[in-house]
Amino acid sequence: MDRVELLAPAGSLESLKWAILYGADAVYVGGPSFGLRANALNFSLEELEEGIQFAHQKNKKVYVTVNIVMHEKETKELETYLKALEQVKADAIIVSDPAIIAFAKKHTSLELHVSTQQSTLNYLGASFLKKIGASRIVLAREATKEDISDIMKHVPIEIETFIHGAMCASFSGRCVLSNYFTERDSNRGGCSQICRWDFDLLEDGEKIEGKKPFTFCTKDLSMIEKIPEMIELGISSFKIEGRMRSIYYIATVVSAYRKVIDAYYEKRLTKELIQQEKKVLDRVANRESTVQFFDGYYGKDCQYYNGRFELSNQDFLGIVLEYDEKKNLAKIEQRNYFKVGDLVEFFGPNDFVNILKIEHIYDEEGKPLEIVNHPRQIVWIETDITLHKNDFMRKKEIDKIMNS
Amino acid sequence: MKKLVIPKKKEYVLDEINQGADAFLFGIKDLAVHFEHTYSIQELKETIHDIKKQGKEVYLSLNRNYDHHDLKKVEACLQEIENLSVDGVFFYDLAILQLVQERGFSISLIWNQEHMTTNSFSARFYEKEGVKGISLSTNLTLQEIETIQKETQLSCFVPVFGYYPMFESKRHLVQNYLETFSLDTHYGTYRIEKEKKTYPIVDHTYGTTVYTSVPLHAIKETKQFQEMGISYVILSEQLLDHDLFLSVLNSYTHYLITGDEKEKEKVDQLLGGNYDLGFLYKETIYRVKKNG
Repeated sequence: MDRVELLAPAGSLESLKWAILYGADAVYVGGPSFGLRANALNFSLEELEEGIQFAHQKNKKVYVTVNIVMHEKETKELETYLKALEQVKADAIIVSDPAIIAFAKKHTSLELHVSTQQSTLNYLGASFLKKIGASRIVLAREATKEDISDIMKHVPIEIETFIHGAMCASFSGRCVLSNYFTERDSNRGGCSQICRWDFDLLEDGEKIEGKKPFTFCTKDLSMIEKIPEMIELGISSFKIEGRMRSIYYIATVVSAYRKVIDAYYEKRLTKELIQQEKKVLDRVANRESTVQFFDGYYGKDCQYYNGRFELSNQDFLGIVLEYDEKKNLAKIEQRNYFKVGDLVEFFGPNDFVNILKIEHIYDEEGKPLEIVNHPRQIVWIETDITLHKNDFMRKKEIDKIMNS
Repeated sequence: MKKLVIPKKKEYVLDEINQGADAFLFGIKDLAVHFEHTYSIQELKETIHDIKKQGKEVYLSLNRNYDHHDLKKVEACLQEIENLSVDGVFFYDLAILQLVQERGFSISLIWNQEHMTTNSFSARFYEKEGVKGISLSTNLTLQEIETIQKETQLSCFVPVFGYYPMFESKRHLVQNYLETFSLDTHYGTYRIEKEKKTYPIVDHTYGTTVYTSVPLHAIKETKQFQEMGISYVILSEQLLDHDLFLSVLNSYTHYLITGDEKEKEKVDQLLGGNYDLGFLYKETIYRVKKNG
């Protein structure tokens, strides 16, 4: 049985490396052009090459998004760009336009994945895409398990589905609110997320007074509890949303799903493990989450009327740069304020969580410190827990109350 | 160049033929969105017959995203259309293209992926796949429209008047909001408001549509489209008063013949100045940040 691929987002070379270190089988990135996240730190071709080499050394894959909806001027650069992606050995490109699939099939040897922008929800659409050369389809976020199953029954093609992250309120590709409200083209990488804005709702010209303002905003997607069911459906790849997210977010989410997926295949998955990882995911969440369309429900409980909820950055305290076993000292690069007396925990690619009460902190000259409050400050923490380079330090915190 | 009208109701088509409509687009019940009224093929047969008798054209829209429940209905509908003398089918979901190819239907397809019909490169791909026309996005500049027209053999359909969708969701966003906060509804018409602009929002059987704040009104540009060789301009009656729309249609018809500026002024007055030119003169921003 082929194992499902865990596919992580990466907005930069740094996050690509973290995603792989923390257990992603593949990452998807935006190159210098044609990607749908104009505000992410997209990769230059040189960085793409470096990232792909890094991934390939670890037997992992890198997919590059080529999923904008082109206007005339973009079409002129397409062939050169595709050849460049072929040259840097991208494992696949993710495309929304069937015309690019047919073109790339003819002119390159690139593997071709269809983006969720095409909103594929049925096997006939999937058959067409396979016929013109696609090897994988990222299904619409609206796909239910019956839709997924029906497509898989009829079309022998790899299926990729989202498992975690923010949702579009609309069908992907069918929203140009951003264009009209801010003149930023949502289908060319400029989406300004108007669906997260508050509006007044009027009925026959009269404002309807709800307790909170009207918004299109939906809760996020989290499929952690559905992983066994999704694996059993035969899905090829599980995709995490969020190319603009921090390395801490990426590492945390990838690590949580990695543990659950591995435990499933190793026949040691328990409800307790799922709940434990769900709590970890809640800690980096911006808003509440649900399984959205998978079970066929997309009513009021999928909506989110509480505005943005972004405390996650405060959770992330630092990165372990090295550990000196003889002196029991961990070298930490600070990412958020912490101090002597704080209760913190460490987690890392090696699948462990260790808790520590900080008793001694030293600066680089060995002088004792009480607080660490400078961005990226380098300090040493005394601990007899064996830590590793690239472990993360976060607050030991009571679970967030999402609706506060 | 022909004027394709999206009528509010099928009963209005003869009025609209009298005001210069050359072609009509109807949404098919359960298979189309963005229409105030949709119809089954059976319900449309007589209207189609009446329109064809007048020497005018009929197009049908199957522009929803279809899930596995819909496929049998889609196929049955295409089978019915195959036996009718309609001039084409506007489609969004690639399932339609696949079905037409697979079953060998002789239906003329019009590529209508709304905001994705934005360039001639993609248009030529659909042309090779047997598609006959392209319904252009409302997000294009005049210059882009001209280039697409030059670079493809497909018949181009260009929106010039009416409210157009900006957003389509499978979710029932108004209903969800009312239910969440236990609010009563009087089943009136809804709009959302931001910064003193309001936007029609319609909860329908298959989700929610949000429309532009004001109608697109590009009468002068219609003349330019004629000169470019555009095959069809689209005037939509959706969300508008029928009498107002008839006057608008009359003005567009006369303007195309005479070029009389007064026709533009008439429509401006009818709309009370509440219209815009969409993106015809406005390019949207697209820029990818470079590292370093």
